[in-house]
Amino acid sequence: MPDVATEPAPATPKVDGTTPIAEASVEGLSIERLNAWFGKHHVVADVDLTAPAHRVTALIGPSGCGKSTLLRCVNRMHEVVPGARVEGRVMFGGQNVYDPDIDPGSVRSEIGMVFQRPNPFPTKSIYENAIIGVRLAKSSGNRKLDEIAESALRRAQLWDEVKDRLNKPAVSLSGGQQQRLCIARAVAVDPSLLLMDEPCSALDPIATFKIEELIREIADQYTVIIVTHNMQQATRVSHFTGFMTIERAGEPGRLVEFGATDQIFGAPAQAATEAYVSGRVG
Amino acid sequence: MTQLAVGTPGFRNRPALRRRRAKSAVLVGLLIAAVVVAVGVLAWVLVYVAIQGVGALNLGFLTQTPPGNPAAAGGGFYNGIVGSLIIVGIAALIGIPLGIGAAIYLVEYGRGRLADTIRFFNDVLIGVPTIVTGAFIYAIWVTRFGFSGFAGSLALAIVMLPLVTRTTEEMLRLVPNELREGSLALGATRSQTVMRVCIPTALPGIITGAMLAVARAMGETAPLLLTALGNDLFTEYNPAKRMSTLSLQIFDNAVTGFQEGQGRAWAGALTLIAIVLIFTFVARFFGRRVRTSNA
Repeated sequence: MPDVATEPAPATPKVDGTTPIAEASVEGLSIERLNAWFGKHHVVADVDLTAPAHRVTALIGPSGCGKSTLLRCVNRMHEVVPGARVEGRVMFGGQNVYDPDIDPGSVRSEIGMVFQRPNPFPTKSIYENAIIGVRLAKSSGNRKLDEIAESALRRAQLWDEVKDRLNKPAVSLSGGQQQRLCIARAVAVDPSLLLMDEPCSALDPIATFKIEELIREIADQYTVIIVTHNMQQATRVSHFTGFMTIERAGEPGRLVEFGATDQIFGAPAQAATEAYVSGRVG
Repeated sequence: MTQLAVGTPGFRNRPALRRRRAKSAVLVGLLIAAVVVAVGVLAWVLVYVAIQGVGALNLGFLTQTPPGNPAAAGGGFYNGIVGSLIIVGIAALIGIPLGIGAAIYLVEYGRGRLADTIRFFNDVLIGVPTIVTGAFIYAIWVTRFGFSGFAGSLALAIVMLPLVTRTTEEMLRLVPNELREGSLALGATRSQTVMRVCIPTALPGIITGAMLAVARAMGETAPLLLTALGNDLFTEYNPAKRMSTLSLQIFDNAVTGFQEGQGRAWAGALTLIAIVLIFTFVARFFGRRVRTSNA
């Protein structure tokens, strides 16, 4: 595949799929004493977590346990909501993403995000959706947009289905295809980390299967953190799992246990984890 | 198998069901009647204006100025057509960008008391009678610089501004928040998100709102009496001078009491409707092109 990412960003894995493990991202991502609020409501308390590089980390837990909020803290999307506040550190590539000198936009183009419901831009074509991040965030220069689009759509395993109708509106695709388009849109800007917030919860089982397959495939190029409601999904796609819960309504969510997925589901150390993964609670 | 008989569903219409059906039929009937009345009145107006106006409408009407004597036949509203296009054009250039800008601020940036205050005054402004707007411009502008087409544009811009703000605001609110988040999560700034995602998504509605405001301004007469004043002697192209408009000429000719004058007024009304319709179609077409091509 042609080398299309020639811009001199040193700490960025290349778009061409050769996966030169950038030195800076070898340690993956570590979250340190993270707390998050919506107004006065404390939603995430004292989370410490390390997501290893080039592995899939799943966050599981009951509704309202703060797992999505925690995810949105990683790429500074939490603060987009009025009244939302974060404390703590998120170390990525040797830098704290909450460092005052760091621009949230640059964090978000380095850490991609896929949302619960597919949200392609409805006024734009499949092609335009795939490259819009490049057009929006990065100074385009004379980068070859067509190649970026093809490469991103290939990595999202959508290319063969859309290559003959790239100029059709994105909303003409099925839900599963739209979600893979959103994944293509996220990987097109060359992130090193991908955040997925229940990416399959609005999809049927076949579309879910395709996305899961895709997550397993891209894990050798990206560090992935996925929030999921579905424990089977966590066991199918992830290497590591963190279990979050709240003690009772109104309390902030905390990380109860973190470990290899096999261990969390096979031999959990905490009683709360055991109760949840065995289906007795939640 | 005796239990089956107990549980056998009765497919017969029970009285309660029959009453519900009757109620539903009555309501549907009322809704259909409302639609027929609403559309019927509109069609009536259009057809009536067309029948009355088509007699006096000819090439001369569209290319000549009115005869000096309102009782005389012939002549036309060319100067009024020119005046309407220039005055409303300038008003649109002022009012539409300001209105869209205000709406973007209110939806995408504005929070707290300032935004609420702006929204409140905008709603008040929608309700201000347009003759008051005309009197306002008369007081602050015409008393100093005299009657002019531009003074009329200022008055009409104030009429259009709150309408454009309100419709644009509502259209932007319909843009799902997920799209804004999708854009921000790609590293886009707020302003890029507004320009590349929110505006294109809301564009058809914004254009419809702007066209409604233009149509409204085209028909306004009262504020122009106090600002543009009118000029039926010759065709004025300079908005710094007093100008006529279609609406002023319709008014002037309709109140003459002479049959010829009233014929011209009907033809003028028909022309006004035609201009608004053409604008709306062109804007819709253009908007769709922009939306699907690049935006």
